[in-house]
Amino acid sequence: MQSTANEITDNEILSLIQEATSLERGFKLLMQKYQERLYWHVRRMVYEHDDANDVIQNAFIKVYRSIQKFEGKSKLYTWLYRIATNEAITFINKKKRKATASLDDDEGGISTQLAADPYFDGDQVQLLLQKALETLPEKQRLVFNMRYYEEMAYKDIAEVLDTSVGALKASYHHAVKKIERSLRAADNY
Amino acid sequence: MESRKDIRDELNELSPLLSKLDKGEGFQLPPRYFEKLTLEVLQKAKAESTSVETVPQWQQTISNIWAAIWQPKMAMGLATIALLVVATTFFFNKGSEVDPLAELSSISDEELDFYIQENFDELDMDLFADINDASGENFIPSSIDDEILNEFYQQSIDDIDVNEFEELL
Repeated sequence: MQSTANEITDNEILSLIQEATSLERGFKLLMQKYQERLYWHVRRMVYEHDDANDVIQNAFIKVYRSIQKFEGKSKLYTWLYRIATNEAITFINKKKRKATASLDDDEGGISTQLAADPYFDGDQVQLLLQKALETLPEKQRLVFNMRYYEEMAYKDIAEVLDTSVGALKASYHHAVKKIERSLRAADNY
Repeated sequence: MESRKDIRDELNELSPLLSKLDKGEGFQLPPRYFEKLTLEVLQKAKAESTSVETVPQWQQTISNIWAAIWQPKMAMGLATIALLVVATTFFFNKGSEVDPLAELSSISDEELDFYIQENFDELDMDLFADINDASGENFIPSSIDDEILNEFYQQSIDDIDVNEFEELL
């Protein structure tokens, strides 16, 4: 089933979704084709599996609600990325507000959070990299993740984040340099 | 169109250190997570669309209006309008406040006398005395003849119950 989903084109998926009788099948194929990429994209933003699960479910429910209005002005996958990214940013902001309201500053930051996550078993270098990423401004972190881990073209990232390719290149270069400095400062390199 | 090779070359140029790192992140997943995710999302999405369909149109409209009212911008606007209405009402009613003296002048002397006779026991004589002192005028008008006054005092003294008076002392 997975191979079917990966072979099918976006246009074929969209045609299935447009028909009430094949909506469910079309949506299943859409999820099977894109859910892993989108999940990992979200997971890199929110870190914990449970949070990523909530965000990705909400994002796909929003997609289900609005897919029939998708006009095809952008690529299907950049449209999906945009929905998932917005959902993740909303989630992160809500979490920050809650933490501020309860004065519950997440002590130890990402290292404590990841240590408590049963679905994280990264080594020291991976943890260091995550710590370095945490120090980046949110947009730089997003750009870094999409370019470094997901190897997305600048043009596609620009479509997802609604910004220019030039600005993205500058963001990515700054992010790479900062992370390199953080890793070197940690005396491991 | 950029290829993966272009992206890796760019990274290698920017930071050979980062380009050599293993991109594994250490994040794990529960078993068969993605299979379950598809089913769970579909189930929730379908349940949600069914519940939206069964809500009558009028109810949907009301809830949309209600939701719109509670949008920060709209709520702020409504609060401002309400404040303006209250302030305007207060401002325009200020001039039409009841003037007690004007109201009193419209009451005839007969009506006033009758009211005082009927409610004499209720009247606070100390208050009258204070008003008299504060206004610097005599509470007892000068038009009252001394003879009548003396007669009134005599009558009052006769009315005093000696026993009550002793108790007061």
